[in-house]
Amino acid sequence: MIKEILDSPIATWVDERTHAIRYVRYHLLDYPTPKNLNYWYAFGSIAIVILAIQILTGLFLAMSYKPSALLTGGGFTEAFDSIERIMRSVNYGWLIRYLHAVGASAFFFVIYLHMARSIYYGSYKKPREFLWIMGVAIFFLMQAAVFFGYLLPWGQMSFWGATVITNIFGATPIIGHWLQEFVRGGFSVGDPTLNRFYVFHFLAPLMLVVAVLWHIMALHVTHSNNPTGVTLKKKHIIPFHPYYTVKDLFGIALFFTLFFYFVFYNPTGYGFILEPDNFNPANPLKTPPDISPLWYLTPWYEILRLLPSKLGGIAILNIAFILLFLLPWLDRSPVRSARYRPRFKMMVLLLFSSILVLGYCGHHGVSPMLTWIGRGAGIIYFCFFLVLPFVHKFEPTVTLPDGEA
Amino acid sequence: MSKQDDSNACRSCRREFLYAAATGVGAVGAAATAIPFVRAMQPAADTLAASTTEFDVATVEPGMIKAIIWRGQPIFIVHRTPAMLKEINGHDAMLKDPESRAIPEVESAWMTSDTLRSTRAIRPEYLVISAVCTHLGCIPTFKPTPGRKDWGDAVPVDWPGGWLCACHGSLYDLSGRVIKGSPAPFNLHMPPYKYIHDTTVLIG
Ligand code: HEM
Ligand code: FES
Repeated sequence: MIKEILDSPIATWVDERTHAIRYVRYHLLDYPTPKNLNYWYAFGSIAIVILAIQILTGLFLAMSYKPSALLTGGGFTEAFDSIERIMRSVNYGWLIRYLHAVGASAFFFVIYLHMARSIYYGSYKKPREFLWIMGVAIFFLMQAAVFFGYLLPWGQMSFWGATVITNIFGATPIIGHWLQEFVRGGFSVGDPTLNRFYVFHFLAPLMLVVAVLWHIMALHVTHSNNPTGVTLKKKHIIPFHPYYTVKDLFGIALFFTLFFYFVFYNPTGYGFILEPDNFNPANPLKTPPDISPLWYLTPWYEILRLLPSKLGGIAILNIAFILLFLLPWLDRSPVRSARYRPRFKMMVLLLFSSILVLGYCGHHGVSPMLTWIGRGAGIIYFCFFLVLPFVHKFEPTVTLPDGEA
Repeated sequence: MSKQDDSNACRSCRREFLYAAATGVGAVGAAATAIPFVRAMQPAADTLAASTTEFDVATVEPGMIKAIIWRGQPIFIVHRTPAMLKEINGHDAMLKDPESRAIPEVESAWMTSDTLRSTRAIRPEYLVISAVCTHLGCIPTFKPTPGRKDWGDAVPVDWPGGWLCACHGSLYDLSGRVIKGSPAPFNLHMPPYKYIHDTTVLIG
């Protein structure tokens, strides 16, 4: 079927004038892939599907949403009321909004698994450093997108989340105060802030599309790694279509089962997808008792509050992120996959657990006990990067499967 | 070197100079273009203009607290009873900055005596103070009575009475001075204010 379409006279006519068809052929059909990719390799395709869902539902939300913190007759704000109108009066508005809100959580869920896979199989290592860097850039752009998007409903969590995070900008040495007013467009988070955050929220996904394209360009030069981490011989390479088009579609179907369970049966996800406090309109005179961010940002939020000093917390958060970028150069082992590096495997599993524990602590309010547990997990996180450059020296020798090199 | 070579070399160095000069001027021009865009994102003239608020402090009952808005940000007005004023003293060792000298935002020109530096109010019974936690900007919760009697272990054993910021656990005393060990670096900021009538303050 696909073959017939691509060989048709019209396609040939277009291809002779644009090369469009040969791009499709090269990048989607004949693209060479290792034959041993498991389902951990489906998350990339799933993430692209979610990005498409976010952009599509976002455009439709934008047709009814009003980015204004001006008060309305009902005593709320135009922004808050417009979201309620989407939920109650706009046809299928509830569905579009829930798709968008659940989509944001699903996006992070999938990307975290995608990143974990890349670390476990050593896919960040030479020659895939640029692929990894674009991946981390995508992860930051996603954080920007949700941060800006979360202000839009102008609920309590929207308002106080934005207040706390823009205050973090304020702690930058020397230019902090200037930067804070520059981001807010006023002394506090207000109507000008909402207007610009709406624009940034619109802009972030467009930048994401560019970043994702670049990520895939890098992938299609270096080609996929595989669970063994060994560069495979020619005879173990198969075309993307039909092998992985079908496998990825099946992965997407499984993912959709979970995704639509939340969209239709549990859109607030027990308060993890839409926080209960955010159904209250923003009140600049009262901070909610617990202002932890949504689950996917809690590990980083916990790192921010590990140290009892404002500047210290911000500094270690920046270091935590910079270390992610440096990963390809910190790891100096010639072996890629954790499958053949028992010591590294232990470290990676510890790293993943420390992030989960940090997330757990960040989700809960401050208590002396959780602060210490959080600090312990924080130390493990940083130790991973500290030990990484040396661990290969202590790695027992394991025979690698037969590869090309 | 022949004459011809010389003039050729010179022609090319002239060309390089012209390239550099043109690129330099172009870069300065491009950078200057950024100015209106950066300025457009800073607070607009009307946002800066609306900057004074009047308030009658006598409307706050003794022992009570009220939050009002000045420049979009909340300000606490506390009517401190004589008992509360007593709680302000005697715990200077627990404070990061007992005399409010760390940064200009925490002091005021009228803080001319030690008493004024510890009460942090023109009229000691009425505390007018920023309600924005100097850590990351949450609004702290008022927990005025000393000790753990009313608050349980949310506050330390030697709690002098004041505010607890639930966001990351900063503590302030009843003059808004930050207690050691808090993530907040500074005392609550002191907004500029003066009395324009008997009990009416003008903030800003
Ligand atoms: C990377 C893709 C995107 C992500 C991760 C994302 C994330 C979010 C999040 C977390 C919210 C708050 C959800 C809530 O409280 O209901 C939100 C709201 C919103 N987003 Fe997006 N978004 C994306 C793309 C877009 C695009 C492309 C548009 C349109 C141009 C858009 C328009 C909106 C609007 C109008 C709202 C407010 C409605 C609402 O709160 O439900 N978004 N977004
Ligand atoms: S904002 Fe008050 S303790 Fe962090």
